[in-house]
Amino acid sequence: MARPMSASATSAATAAAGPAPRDAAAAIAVSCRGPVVLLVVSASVWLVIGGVLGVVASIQLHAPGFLTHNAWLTVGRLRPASMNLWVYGFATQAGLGVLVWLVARLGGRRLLYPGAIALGAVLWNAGVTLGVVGILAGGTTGFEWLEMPRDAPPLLFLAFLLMAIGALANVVFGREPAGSVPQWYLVAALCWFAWVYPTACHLLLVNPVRGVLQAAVNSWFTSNLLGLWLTAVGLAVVFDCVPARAGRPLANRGLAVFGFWTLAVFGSWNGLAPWLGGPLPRWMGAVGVVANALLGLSVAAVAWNWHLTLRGRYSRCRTDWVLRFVVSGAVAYVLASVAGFLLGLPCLAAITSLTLAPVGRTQLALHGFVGLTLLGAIYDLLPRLLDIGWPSPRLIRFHWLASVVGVALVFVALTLGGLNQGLRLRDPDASFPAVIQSTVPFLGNASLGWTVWLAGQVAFLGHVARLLWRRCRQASFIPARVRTLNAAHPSRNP
Amino acid sequence: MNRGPWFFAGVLLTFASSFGGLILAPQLQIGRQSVVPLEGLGQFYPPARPGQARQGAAVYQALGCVECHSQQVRSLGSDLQRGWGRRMSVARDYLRDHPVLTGNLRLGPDLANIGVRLPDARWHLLHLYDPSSVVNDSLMPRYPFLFDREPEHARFPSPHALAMPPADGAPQCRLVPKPEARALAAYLQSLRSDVPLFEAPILSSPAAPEAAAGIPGP
Repeated sequence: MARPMSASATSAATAAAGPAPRDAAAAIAVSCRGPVVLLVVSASVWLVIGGVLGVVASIQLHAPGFLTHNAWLTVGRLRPASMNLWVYGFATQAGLGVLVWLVARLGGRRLLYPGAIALGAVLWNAGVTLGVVGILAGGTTGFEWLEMPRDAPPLLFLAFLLMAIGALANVVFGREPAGSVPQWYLVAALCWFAWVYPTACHLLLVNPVRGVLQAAVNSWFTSNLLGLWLTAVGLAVVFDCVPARAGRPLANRGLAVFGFWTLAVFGSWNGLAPWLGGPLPRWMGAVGVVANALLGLSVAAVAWNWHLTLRGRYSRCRTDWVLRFVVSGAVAYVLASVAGFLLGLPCLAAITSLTLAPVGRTQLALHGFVGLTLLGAIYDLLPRLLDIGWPSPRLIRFHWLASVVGVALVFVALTLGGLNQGLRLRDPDASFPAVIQSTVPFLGNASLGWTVWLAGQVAFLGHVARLLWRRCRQASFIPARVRTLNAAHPSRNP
Repeated sequence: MNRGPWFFAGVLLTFASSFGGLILAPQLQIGRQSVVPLEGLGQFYPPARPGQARQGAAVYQALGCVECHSQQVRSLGSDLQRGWGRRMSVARDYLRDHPVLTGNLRLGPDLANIGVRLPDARWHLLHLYDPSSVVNDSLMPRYPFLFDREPEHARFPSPHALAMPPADGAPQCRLVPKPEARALAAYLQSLRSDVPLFEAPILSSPAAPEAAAGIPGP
């Protein structure tokens, strides 16, 4: 990609003089094309593969006879495999892609170190493949979201470092002064992942802490991976998209500062809330519950800020698909935070802990908030990077509808199923298998939700493939040659 | 980012507080716990697992049993009345485990004391082969790939063969659990945290001891 970049660099240099900022933006987009398209497209592929495994695993929970003859097809392996594909294959990878694009755009400068970032992307995908095959082959480590066998994390972390350092360089050496709200979240997100992932791997896999402390480290890890790393990337997308699409600046910067620092302080402390009543020291669960409540400050500040920015312009969601995805994700963020707070309260936790309800809440945060905001960002960035529009608005509408309906169905089904399970289990005379049988309708609805959701993601992947195919057919995918071609035959590229 | 260094420092400090509070502090509090001698028995709690049970722990881990089964008796809810344990689980119960498979979802019953409730290896093997044959309404998947089969009148019959035909109705065969299955059963038998500890005494509630020993269910 080096040559085309230098070609567009000259156009960027001329544009920097003033008259055509569009050219500068286009040059930045072209400079991001290689690594970001690689990250986003591979993330989309993992999204669908993980979705297929997730649907099968979900069906197995209520139809235990489904595919039981091979060890790798049992729910005990498919479920962690699909979650790992979602967390590392899609969310983290697409998050990094979006992050790279955002730091380059907000820095106002062509992407620095695209080669290192692309190499990181390739290594990352190698790590994800290795890890997921390892899980399916029975090499799981047994730690939630760290199930990948021990060979995969070093590769993943190396890949992450390549991409993170590349991205940070773009913030530090950016042309625009850094300091916009999305940039806070992006930089902090990189720091958080760089701390939490290797620390957890070290304390669980390499040099494990003793006994039940492993469970504490694991909860700390999962809550931070979701609550800080993925959440921060998602929030950066919303903070970038909402003002731009609403056509006015962010309503209140002070509120944004408050929302950011409350997330930084309390978001990292709430991980142990589900352990209230469990075999850890009691104060740990209690601290988690308090942090969860205080985290509500951050959520309220952030959501209020978005609302003030969007007030009177919500109708733009009707025609603007990017905004519609991102606002749906923002709504899911608020809902998931409220659900997280409620499920952590001791009176409710006594009923719902270890049931399906917390699973539903996690899925809402992952697939609703993180998923929808990242997908919205992808709908925004791919056309800009590839300089071509989405072929079919109907597919986008279907994707949105299927994603929202699917996630909503899963969340409602699992939450109600968890409440049903927890309430019935309170009666010590109720037979356990009978109680679990009574959750079957809920699990069935969750499977239905996952299937609807998957249909949307398949449509999305097909759409991305069509977009790429069209782009290749335009023969301008290798711009240096193509530019001359197009200049010679303007009819080729109308 | 003209306040860049302060921003970095803030992000790192806030996160360091969480690391210190949720990782280092508990490490200082319970990280040095060790096994306790059981008076008059010359044994320690928690006991080391015998070799086969240790292999079974690896099978349990590899099959992802933790996705549906917890191994923690909680003080909230009805765990104790249900007979899942005579006391709640405490940190010391897990000293010998790596990985610690406490689990966070109960689509199957808690297994912290399954070795107390169901000490019979044969029950576990039959249950692994076909859960619904021993537990009504069970939603647990079958694990047929943990079993071989041998002819009814084999010349050298396996000592581990179960007197049970395979579920697909091949009448001339008997089931022989593979070593993985036997190891897994041994592991399940070894799961017991019923020793009274200083921090978790066993209270003589009416439901606890007899019920825990006698419940035939899952």
